[in-house]
Amino acid sequence: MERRLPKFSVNAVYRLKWLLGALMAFVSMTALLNLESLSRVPAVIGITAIWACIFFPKQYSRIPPIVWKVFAFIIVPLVSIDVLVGETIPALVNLNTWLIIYRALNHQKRREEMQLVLLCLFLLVMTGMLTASLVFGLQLLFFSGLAIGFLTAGTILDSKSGGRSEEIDAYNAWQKHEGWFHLVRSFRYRNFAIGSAMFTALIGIAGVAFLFIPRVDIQNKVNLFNMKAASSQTGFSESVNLGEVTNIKNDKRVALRVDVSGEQMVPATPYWRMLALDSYNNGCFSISPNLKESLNDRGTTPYMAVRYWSDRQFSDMPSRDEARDRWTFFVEPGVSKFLPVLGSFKQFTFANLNELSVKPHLHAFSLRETPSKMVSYQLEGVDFNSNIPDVPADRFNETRMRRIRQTEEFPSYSYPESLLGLPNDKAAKEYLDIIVQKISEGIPMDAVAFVTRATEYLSEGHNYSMSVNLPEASGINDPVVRWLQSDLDGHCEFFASSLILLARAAGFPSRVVIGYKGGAWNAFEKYYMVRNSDAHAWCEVFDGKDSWFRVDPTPGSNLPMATQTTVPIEAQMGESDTLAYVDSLRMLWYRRIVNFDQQVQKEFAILMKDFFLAYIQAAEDWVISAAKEVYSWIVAPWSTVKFIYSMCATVVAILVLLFQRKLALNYRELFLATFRRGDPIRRKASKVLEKYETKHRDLTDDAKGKRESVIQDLKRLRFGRRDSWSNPRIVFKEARRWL
Amino acid sequence: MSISASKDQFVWRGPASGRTPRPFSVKLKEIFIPPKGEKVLPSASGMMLILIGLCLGLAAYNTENNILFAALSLLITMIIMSGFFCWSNIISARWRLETSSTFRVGEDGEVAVVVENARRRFPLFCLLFHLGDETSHEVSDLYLTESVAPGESSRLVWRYRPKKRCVARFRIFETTSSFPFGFLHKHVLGECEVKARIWPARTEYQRLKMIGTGFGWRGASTKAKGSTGELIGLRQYAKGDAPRSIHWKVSARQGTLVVKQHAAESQARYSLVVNPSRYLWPKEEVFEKMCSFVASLAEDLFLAGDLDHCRIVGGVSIKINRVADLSSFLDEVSALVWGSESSDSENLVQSNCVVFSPLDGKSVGAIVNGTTIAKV
Repeated sequence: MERRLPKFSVNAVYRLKWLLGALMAFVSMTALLNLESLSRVPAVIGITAIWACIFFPKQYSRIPPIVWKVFAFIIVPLVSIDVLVGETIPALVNLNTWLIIYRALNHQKRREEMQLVLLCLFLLVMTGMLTASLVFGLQLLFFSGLAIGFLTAGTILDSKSGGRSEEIDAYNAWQKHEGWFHLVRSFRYRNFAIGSAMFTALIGIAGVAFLFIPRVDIQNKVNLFNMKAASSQTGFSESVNLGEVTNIKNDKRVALRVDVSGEQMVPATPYWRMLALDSYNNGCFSISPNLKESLNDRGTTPYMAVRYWSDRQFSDMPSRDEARDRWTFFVEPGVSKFLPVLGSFKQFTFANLNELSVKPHLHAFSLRETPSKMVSYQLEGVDFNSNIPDVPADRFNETRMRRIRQTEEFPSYSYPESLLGLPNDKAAKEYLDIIVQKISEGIPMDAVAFVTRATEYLSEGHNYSMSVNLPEASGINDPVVRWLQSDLDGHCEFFASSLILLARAAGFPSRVVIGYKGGAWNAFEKYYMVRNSDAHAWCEVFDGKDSWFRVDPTPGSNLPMATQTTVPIEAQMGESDTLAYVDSLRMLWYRRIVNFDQQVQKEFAILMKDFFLAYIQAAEDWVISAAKEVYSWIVAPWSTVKFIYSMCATVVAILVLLFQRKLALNYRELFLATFRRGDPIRRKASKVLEKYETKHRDLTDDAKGKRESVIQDLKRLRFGRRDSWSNPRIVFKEARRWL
Repeated sequence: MSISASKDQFVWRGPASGRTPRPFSVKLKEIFIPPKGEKVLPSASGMMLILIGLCLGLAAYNTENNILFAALSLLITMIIMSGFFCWSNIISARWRLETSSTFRVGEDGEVAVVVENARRRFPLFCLLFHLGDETSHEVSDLYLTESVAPGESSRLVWRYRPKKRCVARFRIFETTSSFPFGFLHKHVLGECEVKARIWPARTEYQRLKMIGTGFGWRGASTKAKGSTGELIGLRQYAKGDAPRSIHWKVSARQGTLVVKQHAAESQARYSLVVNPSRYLWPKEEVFEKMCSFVASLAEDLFLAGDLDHCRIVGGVSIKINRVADLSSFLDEVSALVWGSESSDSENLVQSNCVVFSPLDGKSVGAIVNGTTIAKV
């Protein structure tokens, strides 16, 4: 037996779907009433509009589509005002509310239905997160019921209309509306039963899912956020063996980019200081264990570092001092957790200060882990002076010793004694004493004088070489002392280590510093490109007073004999080849996209606001002056010439208006016609015909006849001779009506 | 749960087409291991929902906010329910394919899907049948526009107007269930296939010469069926009678339609012989024209009672006595292949034998005893 059951008509399902969508929007907007801190105006407007449309659906259906288009455009300034004057959350909530109003009253396609559901859910979740009240639970419950009804009605409508739900004539659908009560009364008990079952199933399964969704701390359990974007590029760590820095030099990749703001003097050969190492043991420099331990506690936060450096600031926002020079550093992923700095500074700006660890005794700045993404920070008021201020060790120890004494004894070379640490090998020590005697010739001298002579001594006996083959150990095990004994060439680490041992043997505290020296200037985007091949090791020696001065004993460097030379930034001659250009694109990305933060965004918004206000002011002035001129022209005595002039102007205006009404093309098409090839009328006819091909409507016989006639006219416009054309304006007008 | 199909005379297809209802455990197993050809795919809105669910999940795990977890569980449930219901909706559906008895080029025919709900409690909703003609590659989507009550069936019709003479193979490629939310679609193979012969289109041809008194070759013919022969009586009008056979004077007198009855031709009965050999028909369009001409002429001769035999060279001769005989000849014409060679060496030229031949490269002539009697 084949029988069709009497069911809802397509129009009835359409109206039902619309009602459910409107109610869903209403429920989500009531959530806004829970928020006392937000303006309730959009919610009240939305609720009023929705209920007005529910009560007067026929009037609602008569609203021309242009109203919705205008409304969509009005949303932009409404939200812009919120963004400019308010905070982010209210702006977001208001944007969501306006969009819900727009979409709830104006949805036809499947994707628009989906948008409405998601907008409502988003608003509910947002308000729920802000209030976390029980009412939210009820609202979510109502929303769920309405959402499943709405989506199911959408699916049924699509099937009922043979996949043409988007082409349903909304106006006709509403004109046949006989009232909501009539619609609800035609429901069958089976529909209610199926709907209730689905709702119960939804709530039940959602409840189970809510209970059993595993709550895990993904930062600890899943390694997703700790994954490294790239393999580690360098080996800058808290312990450096001889040759490790030199190995880094084989890597030609850019490790660091430094953007210099303003026109200023920059060092001719910058030293990008990353880390100082105090403890020495058999060719390996490292941070002494007690210092390392102390640096990992809470005493090393930027906030605590102010105790040591009263003249420095650490902030997450740049200072307002425009006179300061600003050095923005972009460190590539995987380089090191230690951040390079140029020297002393006034302010260190870093977005996430909680991640920053400051080591005042070593004048080092590090992150908790080697970053897996690009890290940027800014230094202000940088001092290129080669001296690093000392943080007195006793002050540090006062706080540390109390606790450590109770637990364990210091190893023999703990900080600050480690700064004078020598090889344990007795023969090595004796040899170092001999060399020190040889350098100082028994004359007491200060640190600067000694290291100057020691540097000269090293340069006389050794040349620079990237590869070193140390002789077999004979009596002395320490590799640095063995190298010192020989006449072999060596790399920067041998020179630096040797000088440190000599200085320490002479009684001057010293430490090795690792980082980068030099760097290429990118001529395209004006910044330093520091490559791994610029990795370098040098020394810092305590001057006996309050600072550490830089010594670079590697041949070719003049420190500390000469002071740091500076050059004007515009005098920098840099790289301008293809590779430099490619690298400059990356810098552009960092500067404009990655570093685009809230501050920059705010500045940009203010700039735009000022710009528009200035234009509005200018336009307002112009309108007022023009109005005054017109007014004075009208109230002035009228002559015959003036009368004829005004009449002509009126006639011309009327003619222009009439001419415009006769045009087949609108202003946009007229404007675009100059940029397009071919006849604009034929183009438009083709476009209209194409649109017709994708659109099919059920029409009466009369309408079908009209439609066929319009199609014939359009085809004539598209393909026919010009003398066979009907009036294109009328054809297009008819096409709008019948197609 | 399902209605037994054992007493059905139809060949049903679809998940509920089995003679005995499958156990629920088997159905449940098929959710996780679907049979070959069945699949569940997300729609565009489903993909969007999944993407938003992922974003919401990420936000929920980052913030550990239970409001977000609640929203996430709602989205997950929506997807689960969409999958479950679209599966359970189609699981008790079965369908078959029906077509019109005859199809003719340029005339509407019916291809119908009869879908039945084999459930006992719940209606069947929102199915989509994707069917088409494999020969001409014409396809159509048929939506189940009304829900089907338990145990009842619905007929979805595709009005199909063939464009080409052939043996068409109508087939339901796929059936899709998207009920209730449309996030996920359950696709099941249609499995139904029906062959139908598309007869050539009727064509207008020109009669050139009168032969005997039978068919009456007088000038141009029309598509309307004609009648001929000696008047032997009158009878009441019956549906299908040609308007020209109405005896208007008698009808006016009696107040009811009366038609003339003619005697069958006895002296001039024709045999149609069609030779599809390629050497005769070098162009395919002329060959198609010939097929239409043959079909039209055969019908007209049959209606006039002047058709005796029909034969395609290489095939058997069909004695035309009834409509079914003519239909079987037209079926053979619909399956004629251009350029098929035959080894038939029989002399085609017999008395009152109508053969077909190209005339001037474009038109086709019907030749009887060496005289062209009609052309197209």
